[in-house]
Amino acid sequence: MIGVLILALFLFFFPSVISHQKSFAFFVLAFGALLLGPQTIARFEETGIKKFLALFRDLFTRNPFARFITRKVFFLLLALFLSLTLVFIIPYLMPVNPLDIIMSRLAARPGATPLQIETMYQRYNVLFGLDKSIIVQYGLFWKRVFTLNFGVSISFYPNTIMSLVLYALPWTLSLVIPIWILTFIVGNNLGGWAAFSKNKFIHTLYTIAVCLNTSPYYWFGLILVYIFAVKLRWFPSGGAYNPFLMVSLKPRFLLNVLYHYILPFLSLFITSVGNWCTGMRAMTIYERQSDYIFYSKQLGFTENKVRNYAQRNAILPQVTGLPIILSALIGQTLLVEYVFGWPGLGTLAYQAVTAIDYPMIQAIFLITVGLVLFGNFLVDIIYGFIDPRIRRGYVGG
Amino acid sequence: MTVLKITGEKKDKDLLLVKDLRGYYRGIFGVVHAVDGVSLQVGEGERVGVAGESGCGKSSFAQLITGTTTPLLHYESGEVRVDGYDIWNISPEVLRKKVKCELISYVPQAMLSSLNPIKKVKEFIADMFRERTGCSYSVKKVCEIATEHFERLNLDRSVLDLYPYELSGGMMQRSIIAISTMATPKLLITDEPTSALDVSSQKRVIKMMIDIQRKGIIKSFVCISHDLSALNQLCNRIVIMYAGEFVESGGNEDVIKHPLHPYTKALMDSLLPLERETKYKPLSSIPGVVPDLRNPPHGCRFRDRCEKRMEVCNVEDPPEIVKGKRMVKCWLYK
Amino acid sequence: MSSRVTLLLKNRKFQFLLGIVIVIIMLGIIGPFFTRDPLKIAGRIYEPPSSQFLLGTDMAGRDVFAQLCNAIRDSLIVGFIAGFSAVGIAILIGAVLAYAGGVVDEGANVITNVFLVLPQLTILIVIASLLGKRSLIIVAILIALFNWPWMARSIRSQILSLKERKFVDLARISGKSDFVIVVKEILPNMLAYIFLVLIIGISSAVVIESGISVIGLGPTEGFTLGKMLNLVIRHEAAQQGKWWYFIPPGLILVIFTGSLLMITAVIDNVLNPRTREI
Repeated sequence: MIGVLILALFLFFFPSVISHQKSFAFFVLAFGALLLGPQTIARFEETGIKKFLALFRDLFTRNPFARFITRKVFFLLLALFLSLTLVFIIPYLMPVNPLDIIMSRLAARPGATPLQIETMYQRYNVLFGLDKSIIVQYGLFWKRVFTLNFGVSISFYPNTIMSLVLYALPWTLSLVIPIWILTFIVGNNLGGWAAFSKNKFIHTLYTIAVCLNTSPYYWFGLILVYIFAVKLRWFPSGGAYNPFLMVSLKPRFLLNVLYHYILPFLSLFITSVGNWCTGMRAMTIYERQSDYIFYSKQLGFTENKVRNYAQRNAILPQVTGLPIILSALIGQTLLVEYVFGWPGLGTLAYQAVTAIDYPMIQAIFLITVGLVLFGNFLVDIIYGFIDPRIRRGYVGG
Repeated sequence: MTVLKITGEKKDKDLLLVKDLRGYYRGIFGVVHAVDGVSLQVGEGERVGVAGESGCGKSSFAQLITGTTTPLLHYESGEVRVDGYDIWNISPEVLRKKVKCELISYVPQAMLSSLNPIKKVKEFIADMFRERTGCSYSVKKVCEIATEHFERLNLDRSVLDLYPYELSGGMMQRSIIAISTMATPKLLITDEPTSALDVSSQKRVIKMMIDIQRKGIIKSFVCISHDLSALNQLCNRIVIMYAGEFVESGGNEDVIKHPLHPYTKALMDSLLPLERETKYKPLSSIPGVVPDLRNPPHGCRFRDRCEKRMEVCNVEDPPEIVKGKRMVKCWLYK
Repeated sequence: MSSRVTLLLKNRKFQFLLGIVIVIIMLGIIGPFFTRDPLKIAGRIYEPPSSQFLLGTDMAGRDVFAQLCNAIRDSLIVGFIAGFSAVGIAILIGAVLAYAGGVVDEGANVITNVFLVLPQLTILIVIASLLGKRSLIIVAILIALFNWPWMARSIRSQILSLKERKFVDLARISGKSDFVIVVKEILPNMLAYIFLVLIIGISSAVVIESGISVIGLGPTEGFTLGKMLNLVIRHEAAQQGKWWYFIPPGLILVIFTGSLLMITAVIDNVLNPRTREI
C-alpha cells in the first residue's frame, strides 16, 4: 500500500506520464485506501455496500487509534480549507481592487501600450471570473485548486504556473527535508548530552548552536559565502549547478549539484540545530529527576542506559514541535534560496513578487501551505505510533 | 570519590553494617540534617523495620544505604558496609556491578512513574537483565524467567505484557518487589511498601514479602514504614527513628509491648487497638512539632515534647544504651 | 514582588545583557542625530572602515554607520509596535477565551492550532505583495497579526491556572465582576510572564521584519536592518567581500535577539525557583 502511495507521488512529478489531475486523484485514492486498510477493501468486495458502510462506521468509532487518525485527518482538511479560503479572501479585503493595483503597476512598466493593458485586463477578468459574483468566483477558485490549474505565469510567459512550481519544488524539498530530519536528530542528541555530561566540549557546542540560532539564517549564509566562497574559494557562491552543464541524472551533474548544495545546506543546518537544543536539554533535565530514572539507577543500570531512557522519554514532547519547525524552516529556506540563487520556490517567489505575478504567488503559497499541513499530519500520525499510550487509547497523563 | 578498596574485602558476617551515618540535604533552603549519626547492624536472616513519623529521615536513610541518592541529598560521613563493601568509598563501577547488581535491591514506593512509561514491563525486565549481567537476553527468554519468578510469588503473568500506566497501585508495588528480587539479592530494602495501597493490597504485599524471605529468594530485608502494624507482621526487629536519629531498637515484641523511650511509648499509645473502650477514649497525640532539622537542637531532640524531660536533656545528647538486643537513646536509662 | 525585581537587577548576567540591549537601543535613538545623512554620498565607493567612516561606505559612497543607526531605529520601531500590539491583542483574546470556555474556547483553540502551523513568512509575503504603500506601522501591525495566536494561547493557559487560585475566589465572592477581577487581580500577578512574552514578541518581530524586507516586501518608507540586507544581497556585497557592509546589520540582529532571549532565560531562572537547576 505504501508502495502505491510512493508511486503516486512519483508519478505526480512526471507530467509526461500521466496528467496532473489524474495523478492527484490517484494519490488521494491511494491515501484513503492506506487509511482504511487492505482488509476493509477485501471485505467490501465480499459483502457489499451496506455492510461496508457499517464496517466503516465501526472502524472509526471503536478502535481508539482509528479515532485518533480520523481526528487528525479532519484537522488536516479543516486547516487546508481555512488557509485556502484565507488566500482567496485576502485580495478582496484590501481597500483597493487588487486587479487595479496589478494593472497600474503593469502600466508603470516601460513599453506598455494601452492596448496591451486592456487585453490583459480582459484576460484576467475572464480567467478569474471577476465580472461574476463573489460566490461564483469562490467556486471557480476551488475548481482551480482541485484541477491544479493556475493558468499561465505572467513573468515567465508562456510557461504554466504549475510547471514552474513543480520544477522548483524538488530543489526546495531537497534542502528542507534533510535539514528538517537531521537537525531534529542532531539537535536533540546535543541537548540530551548537554543535560547529562559535564564535558566542556559538548557544552561549548551547545552554547554555540543556541547563539547561532538567533541569527537570521540567510545572514549566516552570507557569512559562509564570504568565508568559504570569497576568501577561501572552496565552494561556489551561488546557483545550484554550473550553467554550462547539461541537466541530467548523470553522476557528473549530480556531483556538481552537491558541490553547490553544501553552502546553503550548512547555513541552514548550523543555524537551525539550536532550535531543538534548549528544549531537549530542559526536558532531559526534568526527566532525570523522575522516579523511574532513580529506580533504574538503583537496579544497577549503566549511565548510558539511564541517559537513553531519559532521552527516549524526553523526546516525545519534542516531536510535537516538528510541524512548527517545519513551517518556520520553509519560510527561512525561501530566504536562503534567495541569497544563494538556489532555483527553488524561494527564487521563484522573489521573481513573482518583483513582477507582481499574483497567481504565481498564490500558487506558491498553496504548495507551501499544503506541504506544511501534510507534514503536520504526518508528524501527528507518527507520534501516535511512537507513544504507546496513544496506541492503547490512553488519553490522559 | 576516593578509590580506596577496588576489590573490597569481606569483613563481618553482617550483611549490612552502618556506623554513625550522616546525610544532609543541601540547597538554597539551607542544610537539613536529615540523618544525623545512626548505626545499625543487620545479619543474615534478619528482618528489620525502621519506623517513625513522616519527615524523620527514614527514606533518606534508605537511600543512603544503597549508594544512590536523590539529587539534593548528600552523604556526609560515616560507614556503610554492605557485605563488607564500603559503598561510599569504592568506585562507581564497582558499586554498580558488585553491590547493586548482586547484593542489594531497593524497592521504591509504588508511585506510578517508577517504571519507564514507554516500555512494557517485560521489556523493562529484559533491559534490567542486560544491564545487570552484561549479556544480551531475548525478550522471550526473559519472559520465561520472569513468568517463573512471578508465579512463584503468586503474581499474575499477564502483568508482563502491560504498560506501566495500565497497572493498578497494588499490582505495581508487587511487580516492583518481584522485579527487584529477580536477581536474588541478599538484602532487600523497601521504602514504604504498603503506604500507597488499600488494605487488601497491603495484606498481599506483606504476605509476598514474608514469602520471599521464607523461600530463600532474599536473605534479609530492611523495611521502612510509618505503619507500625505492618512492621509488626513483617519484621522480627524494629528500630524507631525520630528527627534523624535512632532512638530505640529491639525485637518487635519487646519494642511494641514494652516500649522504653518516651517517644515510642507515645507512639504506641496513639495507635488504636480494636477494643470496645476505644469509642470512649479520647485520641492521644504527641504535643508539639518535630524540630527544624536545619538547626538541630543541642541535647535530646525529643525534649520539647517529652513529659519526662530532665535538666540534662536540654544540654547534652543522650547516649545510646545497649542491653543485649535492645538499644535506647535516652537519659532516663543511664 | 519588588524584592524579586531587586534580586533580578542585582544579577550580574542580567546587568550585562541589559547593558548590551540598552546600547543598541541608544544607537538607534541617539545615533541618527549625531551621524551624517545616510542618503548623502559622502565618500568614495566601498571604502573600508576608517576614522572618518566608522563602518566604511557602501556601493554608492554613503556612510554605512549612519545607515546602521537609522536602520536600528526603524527596525526597533517596527519591533516595538508589533510586540506591544500583539501582546495587547493576545491579552484581550486570551482573557476572553479563558473566561468563555466551552465551544467558543474549543473552536478558538482549533483555529489557533491552524494559525500556528501555517508558514508565517509565506503568508506575509502574499499579503505584503498586495499592498501598495507599506508604512512602518502597517508592517508592524501585519507582523502582530501573526504573532498574537501563540501569545494568546500562553496567556490563556496562565490565566486559566490563576483563575483557580484562592484569591480569585475571594474576589468573586466579594461580588466583583469578571472584568474587574481580570484587570485588578489576575493581570498584576502575571506581569512577569507578560513581560517575558513581550520580550520574545519584540525580538521575533524584528527578525521577521528583516525577513520580509530582505526580499523587498518590507516597509516602503523608512529604512530597516532588513532593507539594508536587501541592498547587500542585491548588490552582492558578500560575494565581493565587503565585510563592513554586510556583517554589521546581521550582527546587530543576532546580538539584539540573542541578548533578549538570554534575558528571558535569566528572568525565568531568578523568578521561578522551580526551574533552577539542582
